[in-house]
Amino acid sequence: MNINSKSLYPISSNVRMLGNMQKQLDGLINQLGTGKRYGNLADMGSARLHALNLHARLGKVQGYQANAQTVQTRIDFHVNALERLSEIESETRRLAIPSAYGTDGVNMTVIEQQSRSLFNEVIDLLNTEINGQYIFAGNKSDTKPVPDFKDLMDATAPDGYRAVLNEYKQAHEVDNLGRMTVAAGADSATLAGSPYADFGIQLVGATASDSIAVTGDAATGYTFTVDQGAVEVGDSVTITVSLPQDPNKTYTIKLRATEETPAGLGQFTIGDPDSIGEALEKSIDVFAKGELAAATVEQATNAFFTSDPDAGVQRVDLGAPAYYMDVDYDDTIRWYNGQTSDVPRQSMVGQVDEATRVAFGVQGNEHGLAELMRGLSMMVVGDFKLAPDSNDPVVKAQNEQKNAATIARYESIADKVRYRLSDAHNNMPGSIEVITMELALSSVTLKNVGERHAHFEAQLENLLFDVEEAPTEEVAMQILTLTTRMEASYQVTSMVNRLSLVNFLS
Amino acid sequence: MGLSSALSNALAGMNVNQRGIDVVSRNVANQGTPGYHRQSLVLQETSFGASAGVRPASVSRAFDSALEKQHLVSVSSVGFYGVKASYLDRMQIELGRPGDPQSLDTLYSKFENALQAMATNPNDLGARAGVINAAQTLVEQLNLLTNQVQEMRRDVEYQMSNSVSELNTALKSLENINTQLKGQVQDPTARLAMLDERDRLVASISEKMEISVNYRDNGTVSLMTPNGVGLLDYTASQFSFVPTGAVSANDPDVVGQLMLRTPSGLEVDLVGQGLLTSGSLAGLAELRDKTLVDMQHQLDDIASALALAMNTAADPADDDLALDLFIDGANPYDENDIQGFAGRIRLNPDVIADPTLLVQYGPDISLGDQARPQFLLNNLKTMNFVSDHVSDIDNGGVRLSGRVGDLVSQMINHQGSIVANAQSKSSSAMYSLESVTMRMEEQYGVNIDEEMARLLQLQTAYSANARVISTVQELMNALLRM
Repeated sequence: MNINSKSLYPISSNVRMLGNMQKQLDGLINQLGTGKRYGNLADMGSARLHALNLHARLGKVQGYQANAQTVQTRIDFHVNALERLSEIESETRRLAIPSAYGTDGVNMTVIEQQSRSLFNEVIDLLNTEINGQYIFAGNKSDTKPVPDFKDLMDATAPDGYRAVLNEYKQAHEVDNLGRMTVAAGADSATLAGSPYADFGIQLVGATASDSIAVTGDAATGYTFTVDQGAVEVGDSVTITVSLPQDPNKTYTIKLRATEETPAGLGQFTIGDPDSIGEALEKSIDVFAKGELAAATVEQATNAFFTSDPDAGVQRVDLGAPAYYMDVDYDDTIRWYNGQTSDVPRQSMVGQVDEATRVAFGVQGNEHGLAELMRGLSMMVVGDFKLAPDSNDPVVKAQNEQKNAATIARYESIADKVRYRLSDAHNNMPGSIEVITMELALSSVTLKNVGERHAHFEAQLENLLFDVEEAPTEEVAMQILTLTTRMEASYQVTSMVNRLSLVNFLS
Repeated sequence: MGLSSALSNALAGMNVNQRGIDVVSRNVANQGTPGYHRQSLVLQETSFGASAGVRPASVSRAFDSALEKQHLVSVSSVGFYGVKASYLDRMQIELGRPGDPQSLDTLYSKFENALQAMATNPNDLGARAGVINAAQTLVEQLNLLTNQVQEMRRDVEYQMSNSVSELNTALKSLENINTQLKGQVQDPTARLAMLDERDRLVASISEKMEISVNYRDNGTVSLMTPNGVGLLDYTASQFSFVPTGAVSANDPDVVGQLMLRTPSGLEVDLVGQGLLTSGSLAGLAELRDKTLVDMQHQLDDIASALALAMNTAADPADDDLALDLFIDGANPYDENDIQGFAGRIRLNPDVIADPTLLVQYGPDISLGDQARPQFLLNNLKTMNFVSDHVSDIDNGGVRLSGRVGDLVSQMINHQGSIVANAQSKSSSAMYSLESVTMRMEEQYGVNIDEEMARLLQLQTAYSANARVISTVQELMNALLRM
C-alpha cells in the first residue's frame, strides 16, 4: 500500500517554513500586481463587512448620481422650451394691441400669419421629445401631447377646432344678425332679440330722442317710429343688447339722424322712410360680426381647449331650436393627450437621495400653456383681413361695413387675448413663469444633492482604498524584508544540512 | 576457559556486530521512509561456564502507543478540517470578493440602480433594457451558485463513496496483518516491517474517520469508533455506501447513506447516527449535510426575497403594481416552494419579450407612468424579510434578516467568515499534527549521525573481534608447532 498523504506524514517543519515563505512571497507579488490587499473572501476578515457596506453605499450613490443626471437633462430641455414659450407669450401680446393696428390693413393681414406661425411653434414646443419621450405630457411621455396644427384646426369627424368654431358661429347665427330680426316699415323699424337665451344677441332695452317713438318691450321687440317732421340732426336711437356668453355685460348700439345721403354706419337719413330700417340692420350686422363673433370665438376656444381634456368638448346641436348637447367624447379631437393630474410637477419624480425626491413633470395643459394655446388660436381664426378700398360707391359702402365689423372683432379679440396673457397672471399656479421657477427649484436641489454625492463618493472611495487596496510602498517593503529573511533561511538550512557525520567519514 | 572460549566469544561478538551493521544499514536505508520506525538491536550476555559471550536477543522497534494515539487524533482532525477548507476555498472563488464583477452584492446593487434609473425615466427604452439585463445577470449568478453548491455536494458524496472502498481495503489488510502477527513463527525482521505497515494502515484509516485503537501485546490491533462501534477485532467490519438518488437543491435530505456492517451483523448508519466525529469523512458529511445546505438556504432566501419584493404588495390597493418579474421555472413563485428556489429562479419570459410590462400595469397605462417602477424600487428598499432558516450552530447560527440588499451582504459576510474559520482551523490542526510528528521524528526517526557513530563503533568492535580471532589463531599455530 502506497501512502504518501501530506496530512499523514507532513514534511519537516523547516522545509515547510521555506515553502510558506515562498507562498508569502507569491502573495505579496500578487498584491503588488493587482493592487488588491486581499486575494479572496476569507482573507478579508473584518474588512469584509466594511467592504460590503462601502460597496453598497457607493453603488447607491452612483445610482443617485445617474438619476440626478437624467433629471437634470430633462429639466434643461424643459427650461429651454419654457423660455421660448415665454417669449412667444410676449410676442403674442405685441400682436394683440387694441387700437394700434386697427386702421392698418397690411398689419392686420400680418397678424394672422404671425399668430399662425407662433401657434405652430407652440405646438412644436409642447411636442418636444427626447429619445421618443414627450416631456410636456406629464407621465404619459409615450403620447404626443398636442396634435399637429392641421389636425388640430381642420380635422373632421372627429372634428378639429374650426369645425367646432363654425358650429358655434352657426348657433349664434353670427352671419345672420345674431338671430335678431329687423322688420322695416315706412319711417319705422321693428327690432326683435334672439328668441333663445343661449344663442344670439339678447335685446335688453331701447331708448330714443323724443322725435322717435319707441314701443314694445325687450321680450317682444321694439318698434322705432321716426317723426320726420320733428327729427333733427343728432337725434338718436340707443339700443341696449347683451351677449349670451356674458349676460351681465351690456353693449349699446346707437343710430344718429343725419342729413347726408347715403348715411354712414350708425346713421340714418332724415326724410328717407327706408333709412331707419337699413341703418338698424347694418349696425346689428356689424355688431354681430364684431362683438358677437369675438365672443363666439372665445366661447369656442374655451370649449375646445378645455382645461380638462378628459371632460370632453361641449358641442351644439344645430336643430331648431339649437341646444347644447351632452358631451360626446368621440366627436371632437382632443387638443391635449397627455396626463392631467392635479399636481403636474409630481407627475414625474426622480429619487436623487435616500429621502430627496425631485419633481420635474410638466403638462401641456397647465394653465399658462393652455392660455397661450387659446390666445393664439383666437388670433389665428380671427379673420382680420381688411377689404380694400373701392371706387364703386356701393362696394365701398359694403367694404366699410365689413371693415367696421373686422376692426370691432379685432379690438374685442385683442382685448380678450391680452387679458389672458397679461403679466398679471404670471404668479398664478401653472403659469409659464411659475413652472420655470418650480423647475429651477428642483434644479437647485439637484445641484446641492449632486455636490454632496460627489463629496460623499470621494470619501467612500478613499475608505474603500484603505480597506481593499494594498499600498505599493508597504508591499515593496514587505517583499524586501521577506527576501532578506528567505536568504538567511536558505543559508542556514544549507549549512545545517551539510553538518552531517557522513561528510566526515573517510 | 581457554582459547576455544575466547574464539567462540570473538565469533559471537562478530556475529552480533554483523547483526548490528545489518540493523544500522536498514535504518540508514529507511531514513526518511514515511512510517518507518527506528530499529535497534537488543543484546544478551551469555555465559556457559567460563565463556561469557554475547548474542542478539531481538531487534526492537521504537514505539510509543500514547504518542501514536495522539498522532491518530491529530491526523483525524487534519482530515476533518482540511477537507472542509479545501472545498470552501473553491466555493469562495465562486462567491467573489465584494465589488467583484461576479459578486452577488455587485450584481444586486446594479439591479437596484437599474430599477432606480427606470423609475426616474420609465419611458427610456435603455432604462428598461438595463433592468432586464441586470435582473438576468443576477438570476444567472443565483442559478450558477446553486449549481456550484449542488455540484460540490455531489462531488462530496462521490468522495464519500470513494472513501468506502479505501477504508474496506485498509481494514482488510489490517485484518490480514493481525492474523499474521498472531502466528508465532515469524522472521523478526518481517514482523517489524509488518508493524510499520500496521501503523500506516491505522493512520490512513484515522485520516478518514476518528478511531480509538487498542494495541495488543502480540502486535495486533483492534479498532473502534470513539463511541464504541467495533471496526476491527480479528475480523473487519464492512463499509458500504447506499446512494439514494441525485443530490439536488430541492430536497437536501435526499442523500446517500454511509453504512457500517459489523461481523456480528449489526448495521449502522454512520452519518445518520452521528458516529462520525472527526476525520475527512466527517468533514465531507458536514459539508454535504450542513455547511453547503446552509449556503443553499441562504441563496434560496435571497432569491425568494427578490421574487417576493417584486410580486407582493403590502397594501392591497397596490396589487395591480406588483409584477411577477421572477418566476419559479414556468410558474409564479410561491413562498412555500422556497427549497432550492435559487436554482429555479428565472426572469419572467413575458417580461423579456415585452419589457414595457415593467412599466405598464394595465392596458391604458402610459409608458411614462412611474407608478410600477417606483413601487418595485420601493419594495426592494423597504420590504423586510426574515429567513425561516437558522444556519448550523457550528457556523454561527445565523439567520438572515432585513431588506434584500441586507440579505445579500449578510450572506457574503457569513460565508466569508465560514471559509476563514475553516481555513484557520485547518491550519491550526496542521500545526498540531506537525508538532506531534516532530515528537515522533525524535522518538522513531533515524538520526544519521547516530547511526554513523554506531557504525564506527561496530566497525571497531568487529576488527577487535577479528583481532582476537587472529591472535587465537596465532596462539593455536604456536601450540600446533610445538
